[in-house]
Amino acid sequence: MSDTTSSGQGTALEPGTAPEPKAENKAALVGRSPGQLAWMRFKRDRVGVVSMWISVTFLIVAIAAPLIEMVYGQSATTLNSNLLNDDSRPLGVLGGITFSTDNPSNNIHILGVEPRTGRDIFMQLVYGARTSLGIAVTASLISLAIGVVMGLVAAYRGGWVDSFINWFTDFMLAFPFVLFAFAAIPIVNTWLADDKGEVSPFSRVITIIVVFSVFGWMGTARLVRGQVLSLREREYIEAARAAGAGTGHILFRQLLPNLWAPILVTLSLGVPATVTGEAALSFLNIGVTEPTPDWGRMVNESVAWYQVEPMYMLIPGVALFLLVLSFNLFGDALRDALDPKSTK
Amino acid sequence: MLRYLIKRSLIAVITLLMISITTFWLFFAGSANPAAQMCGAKACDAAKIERINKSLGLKDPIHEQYGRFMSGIFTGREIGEGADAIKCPAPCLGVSFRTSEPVLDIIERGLPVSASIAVGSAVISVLLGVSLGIASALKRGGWLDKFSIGFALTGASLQIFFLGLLLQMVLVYQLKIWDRPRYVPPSEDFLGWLSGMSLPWVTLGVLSAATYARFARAEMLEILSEDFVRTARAKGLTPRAVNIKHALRASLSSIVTIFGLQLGGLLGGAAITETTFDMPGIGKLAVKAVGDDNLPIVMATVLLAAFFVVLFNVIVDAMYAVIDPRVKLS
Amino acid sequence: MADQNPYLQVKDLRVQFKTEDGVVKAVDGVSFAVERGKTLGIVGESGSGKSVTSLSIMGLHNRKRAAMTGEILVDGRNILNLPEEKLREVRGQQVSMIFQDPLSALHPFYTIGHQIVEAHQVHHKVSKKESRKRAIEMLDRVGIPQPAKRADQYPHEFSGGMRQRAMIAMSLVNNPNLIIADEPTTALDVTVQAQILDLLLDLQREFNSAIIMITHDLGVISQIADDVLVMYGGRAVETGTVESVMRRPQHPYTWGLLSSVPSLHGDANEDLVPIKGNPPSLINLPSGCAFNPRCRYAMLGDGRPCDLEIPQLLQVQERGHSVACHLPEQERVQTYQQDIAHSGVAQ
Repeated sequence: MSDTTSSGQGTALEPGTAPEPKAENKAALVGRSPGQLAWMRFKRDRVGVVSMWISVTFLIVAIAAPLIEMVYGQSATTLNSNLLNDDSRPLGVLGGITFSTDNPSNNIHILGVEPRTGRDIFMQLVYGARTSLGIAVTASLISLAIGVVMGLVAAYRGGWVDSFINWFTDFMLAFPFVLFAFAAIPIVNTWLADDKGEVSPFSRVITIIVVFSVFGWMGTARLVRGQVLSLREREYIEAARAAGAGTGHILFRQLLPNLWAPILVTLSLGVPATVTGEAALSFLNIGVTEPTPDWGRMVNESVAWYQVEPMYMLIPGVALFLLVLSFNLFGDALRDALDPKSTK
Repeated sequence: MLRYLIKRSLIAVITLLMISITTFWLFFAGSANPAAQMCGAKACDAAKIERINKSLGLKDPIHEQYGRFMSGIFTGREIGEGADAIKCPAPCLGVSFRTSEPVLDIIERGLPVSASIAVGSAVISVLLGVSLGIASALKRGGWLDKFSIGFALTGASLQIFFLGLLLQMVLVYQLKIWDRPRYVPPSEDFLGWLSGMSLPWVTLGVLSAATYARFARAEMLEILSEDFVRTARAKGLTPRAVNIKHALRASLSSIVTIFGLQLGGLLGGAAITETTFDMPGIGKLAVKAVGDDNLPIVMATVLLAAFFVVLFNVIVDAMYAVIDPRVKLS
Repeated sequence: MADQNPYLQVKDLRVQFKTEDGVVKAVDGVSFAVERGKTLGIVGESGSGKSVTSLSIMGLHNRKRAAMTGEILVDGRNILNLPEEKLREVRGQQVSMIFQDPLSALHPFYTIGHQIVEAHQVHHKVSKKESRKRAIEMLDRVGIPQPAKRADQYPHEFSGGMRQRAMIAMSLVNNPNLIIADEPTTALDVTVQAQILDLLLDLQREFNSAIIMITHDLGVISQIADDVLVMYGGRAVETGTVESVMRRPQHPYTWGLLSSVPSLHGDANEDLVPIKGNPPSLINLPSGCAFNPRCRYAMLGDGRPCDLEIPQLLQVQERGHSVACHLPEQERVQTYQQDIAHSGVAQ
């Protein structure tokens, strides 16, 4: 490092900084929005970038499941009893993994097949991702919306509205969620049953989404409330109010744009949390039922087989772990990028 | 201080009451025919079902049923009529639709199992998690810190049912180096209790430790950047005094909060843990009861779990007042 | 300032932090000295490096993360080379610090008395009882009524002014030779400010200690300091006796701080002009004089120096007064006098 200050002789230019004209220099400093700065920080976080791509891959797999089915050549529900031995266990090694089509199903099975049914595990995973992420993303978005509205209203209205929403938040948090959801979902399903007592798979999914939305908004509400309380006193809100802006305008046009960073982080961390919760319910055999593929239920069904067919448990378990881990890592990296002061 | 606690307890009681109303309404108003459960395998005729419904008051207005349920908790009650009546002493949480046994007796059988899991895993998770989190905050950027961050992230992303099954598969069934999880009362066979509980303890303990580690680290890092820690260093105190007497002391209240929330919530998560390890605790009881439509048991377990959440919230508040002198004023 | 070994000497201090966004040059070649019984005021906006300088003197930077060069001689010993154990003997005993916000600088969970006793016990092998006696004595000395009772109260039970008094009592409990006060009155209201400054001056006379007063408020400086150092972007831009710097400031930044500089072409009724723009980023300082983008008098283009060369801190005609500015001295003096005349604000 050159001793520029005390010598005063050398030029002030540091090695590596180009002698830019002043105007441009200023523009470069001013021109970066907070979003761009955050994106720059994010890109430097290698773990964050990798986890983002893995998360995106999971999302694409979930969305493009029918396309994958076409290319792969077999559906998730095709039964292949001809791939099983007399004990209903898959023929071949490692739960029937085969990359050749030279077998009774005339199809490859890159992750093997299920015991008892002979269904292709890879396609079960692909459609299972669709179930998990479909439920998790929808429920996270709904609970986010509820939370944002609750938080905004509580903080902005204050007074008894604030007290009530606060109490209600505490009240909802006191519910033992897993146990309650687990007990409530079958009951809610009985309401949705048709004349023959059947509940359509779609209704079951809706029930789960509703339960996770109803119990998922409290954290967001508290966060938004806290943020708004600190933002509310800022000058620009005062200015908007003085200019005669209505409550709705101030809430949604002035305050909300300043909350996008914490909201984005909440959303990205809410998805893996919901995936975990949904899998846990499925593991307890509550939730989506056959023939809709589901990772948690796969683990549940593997319990009967795991002493002899470990792959059947390992594959959905590892998939679940990878999905949740990549979303968690991505969410963490996002938070670090958006709020450089946070300590993780 | 006392007034503060009384106020907190009062809010807790109201919250519990509201939860019981919500739960009762949801379960008993919406449910399918519970009377069919009483008949068991041999299907009853319509007349018998009618009689059961009438004797249990299952067709009465919901608020009357709720009133009976609540008064039963405080005074006990007789369920059913005439010769079929079942004595259910206070605190009565109803009787099982299946076996007509008072629910409380059934729960009492499961409680030691669930409590064993909760206490053992809580000890492991707090000791491991908090010390790991604090150590990694103090040596920020070092190898221990990197390990701790990785551990916290992995733990937060692993499902207890997957890790539990995996460990059982590898350690118990493949390598045969660990005891199969089972419950024996510690009074009968203490060592058997220890070895039977060890796998659930370690699994749940290590997973919850990840939460503590992550939290303790973040909290400690935040406290270490506080002005009063700088003041302590400016006084010329040793790093040990600065870290323990000043920083750790200040982060204690947040750590206690997480501990209370975790412990209070353990019973709620027991359904998953106990299914994973096939332990006959309250969680497993609830899972079975839901499968059987055995509403009184479901209701009781949900209420019990909510009770623990609320109870630990009050305990945390009380701890706050002990730890933080500022609380006494408000 | 005759150099008979001043108590504190800082020579060409540089402090840099590596961050994810680049190297922060928080302090970039600053030198100054303070004698016992004298007060040096360090002035600057936030981010000018004044607080980083003071923490360096206490040895409070994490050596792993802050790269420090130069010398900080406290009573002849270089703080930058002292091992941690020796540093602890200096901290709180020879050099002590008063922080800006006493509410956050005092531990919320311990009583005031406890915290003062602790500060005394670190450096004295005496009984707790004696330390407590000393603590109450100090509380009394800084003007806290009923000191014995107040010692058992927590910081949140004190008013802002009382808290700062308690903080001062804690800092002075070991009779330090050098007191660093980092914006000690910023968080207080004006009447309390004056009382606290008086108290500091009183105590300085009593203990013959050196004081470094860090502030952004030139009013505070003129009340309490003997010498003044103006910092901008981590560098010293002007230094001298309070008398000469306040009366005849020569750096456009100091003019801005004095807030009595109307624009050259503005109308005569305009009075206070804040300095335009924001303090510079310490990662990416403007080239040349760090102040040039905000300087109304900057000489730019055609090879003129303001955005090309860093100006040296050079002595002006007046003894002990130095300025780092490319403007010729003659022009500086004239411009400033014109401005004063123009605005009608006489000193």
